[in-house]
Amino acid sequence: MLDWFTKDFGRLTTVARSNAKKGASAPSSFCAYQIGWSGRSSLATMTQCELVEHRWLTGEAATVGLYVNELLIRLLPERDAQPGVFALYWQIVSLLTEVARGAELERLLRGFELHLLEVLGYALDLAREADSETPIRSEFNYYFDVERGLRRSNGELSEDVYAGTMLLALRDGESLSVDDRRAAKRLLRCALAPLLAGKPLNTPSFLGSR
Amino acid sequence: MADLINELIERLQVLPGVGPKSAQRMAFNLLQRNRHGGELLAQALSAAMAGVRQCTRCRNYTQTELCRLCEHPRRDDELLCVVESPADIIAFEAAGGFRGRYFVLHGRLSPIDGIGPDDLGLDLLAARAGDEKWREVILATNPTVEGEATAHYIATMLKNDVALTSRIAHGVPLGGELEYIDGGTLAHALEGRRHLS
Repeated sequence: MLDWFTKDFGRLTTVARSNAKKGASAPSSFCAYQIGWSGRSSLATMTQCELVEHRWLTGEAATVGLYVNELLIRLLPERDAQPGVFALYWQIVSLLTEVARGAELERLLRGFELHLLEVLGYALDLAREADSETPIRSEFNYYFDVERGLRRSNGELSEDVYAGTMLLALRDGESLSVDDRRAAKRLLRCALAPLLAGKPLNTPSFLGSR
Repeated sequence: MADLINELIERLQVLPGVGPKSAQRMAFNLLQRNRHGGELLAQALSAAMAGVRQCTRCRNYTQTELCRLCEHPRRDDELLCVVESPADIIAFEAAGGFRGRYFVLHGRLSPIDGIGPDDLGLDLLAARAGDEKWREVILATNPTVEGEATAHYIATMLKNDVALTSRIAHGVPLGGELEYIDGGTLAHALEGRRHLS
């Protein structure tokens, strides 16, 4: 059984025919294939599979890739075309093959999560306060209301209170300090949590994903 | 009587790749042509299920507390090879050339399937790394993304205890012709090329 993410049909599960010659490698995660399948039931039979573009993730990038895969499997229903998410997915897979480790990986992942929320219709507005046109400002702190967005806070920085400077740097895709990277991760996990129906992803707890 | 036949057909379906039709064929073949073989199979299955367990040191299958590879007096104690399954040990032993010890994960990290570090005995591996002196740990998980993530996880886990962790090479098989090798394997072989000069 193979799970595919297709450009025109969204997530798709197929049964691979076992006529592939022994020793031939099975389709590999993160590579682009041109596939054919038959059957209208939820489980299709794959009839053709040709590699179009090879991608290989190693080390930390492989862990991040597994997180991205798990996120999409949990967020996207089967057979629901999502060309915007598909383009975003291919973009991050391509970037992950070039970036092996460190803060840059984390920056890419936060950018992916922000864009994913936007494409799915749950954009996290890092430019304005909730229910107003008041811009986020670097000198203030903010807390995140999952239902509405960011609201100004009079409290000190904490697990739930985020610095305006971090929010603006995250919006602009800039490099963040270690503390700001942790805060950005917490913020994005909070924003994604309602879409995961209260069941957290396995990858962060198993592999300590960024 | 019909119940016994149906139960046999149903039980045979626990074997991987065996569906109702194949199970029915196997059951009738044993009943019609090879009853003695069937009885021996039942005895062997029963004995194996009762007597085979995991080696307390490497998690390979064994009948005793330690497997024969862990008890072997002339293997290199400072060299460890981490594999996904006991079948991989058989492959390495058949290939020859490796005289160290093994550790069997019985799987690989796969968050989507809910398989985490605790399922792979990595707590035991970490404890052994603290107690034993390994000069090299060879990570021989399969060349899949999950295998790669598993290797990376173990390498990170062992970095303070082991001088060198290495990954087995992947790519063009010996005797293979480049023309017939799939693009993914070839691209991988190119990425992992070795310098000659």
